[in-house]
Amino acid sequence: MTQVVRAAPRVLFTPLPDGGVLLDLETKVYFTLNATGAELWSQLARGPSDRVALAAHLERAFDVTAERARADVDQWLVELLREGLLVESAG
Amino acid sequence: MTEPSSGRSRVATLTIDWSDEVGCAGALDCLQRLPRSASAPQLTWRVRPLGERAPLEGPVVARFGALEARATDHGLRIDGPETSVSIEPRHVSVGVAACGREQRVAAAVALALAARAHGWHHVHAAGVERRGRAWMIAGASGAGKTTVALALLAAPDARWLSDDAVVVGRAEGELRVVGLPRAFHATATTLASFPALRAAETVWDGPFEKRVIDPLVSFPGRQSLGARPAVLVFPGIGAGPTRARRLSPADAFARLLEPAALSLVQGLPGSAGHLQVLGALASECRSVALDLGPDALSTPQILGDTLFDVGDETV
Repeated sequence: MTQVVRAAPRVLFTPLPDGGVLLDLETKVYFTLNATGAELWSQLARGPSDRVALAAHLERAFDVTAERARADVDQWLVELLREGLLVESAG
Repeated sequence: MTEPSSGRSRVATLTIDWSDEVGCAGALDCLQRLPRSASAPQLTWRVRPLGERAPLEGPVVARFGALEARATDHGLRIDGPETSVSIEPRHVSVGVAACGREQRVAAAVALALAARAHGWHHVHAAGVERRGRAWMIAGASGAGKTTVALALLAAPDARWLSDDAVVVGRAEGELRVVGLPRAFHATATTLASFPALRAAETVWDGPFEKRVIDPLVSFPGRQSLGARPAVLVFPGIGAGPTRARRLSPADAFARLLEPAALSLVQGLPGSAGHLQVLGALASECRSVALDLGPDALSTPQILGDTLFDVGDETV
């Protein structure tokens, strides 16, 4: 079963040059995203996704290898899920 | 029922002074004069005695001291023991049973939230304009906002926006900052650095004893009606020589975010728009952290030399 992730509804994204900032309106935690993270968040803002689709998007958007894209997405997902900025569910 | 049109409003036997502590009358006048789109609602502001309050269902979405904010069908209501403020896009109704800190906080919060409905966002910052560009000095009380603003105003072509509160929004697509008019408040230490200024009465600003300076008297003909934000300054008191350090947009955004956290609450209207404005400020301005050393008080002109140079780099 595929794990689907979506943006937590209480989180707002503010774009900034070279990335952006996520703010959790409940905990007041804010989290800085680099350009890669901001691209991934923008993708999730369009709708729920999974690690395979996110890695494929990163591979196309930044012209990186599939291996590198998967590693970046995995690390990003771990960090944002830990902070409660993403919500995970069975797809 | 009465609508404040000057510095004081009378409600039954109660007189509310909106001019100095809250700044509501001047601020409302300022808001009504702001550029607005054709679709922006007209705002009316009414003050009335506190009457019966219908209980509200639903969770508290924000707390401001003893005040609690809950969503209503058309907006928000802020309730305290002696205060009830209803905020809707076209109408703010302030019910009070007394006049004190609780009512002033409620009115200030209501004003900030009502301004959001008009596309203007309150930022806790001083502002000084020079040649159409604004230097916004942001920080908590005691950080040195007024000291920096007064130092910048030493330049003969500088004009004042505010020493504590501004609103930021877009007019014809361009980011713009407008000051909320109120008296400046300076500590005795700051005043000693600007001997030409004349201060009036003493007031308490949180833990700080401050003297009141009327900018209309101290800087006649030099009130700015608005400017394009160019430089964000985040002052702090230091022990070494005064110096400015450049901040990244992300660092500047984080510093703008901290004092705004109370008003960025899920369920509170305009939070997303408020973040967009803070993000635009951080992205479009040059930002510096300013360590204020003892030399800033002994030679305040070094602040103008330093900070105007930062602004000139944006040209």
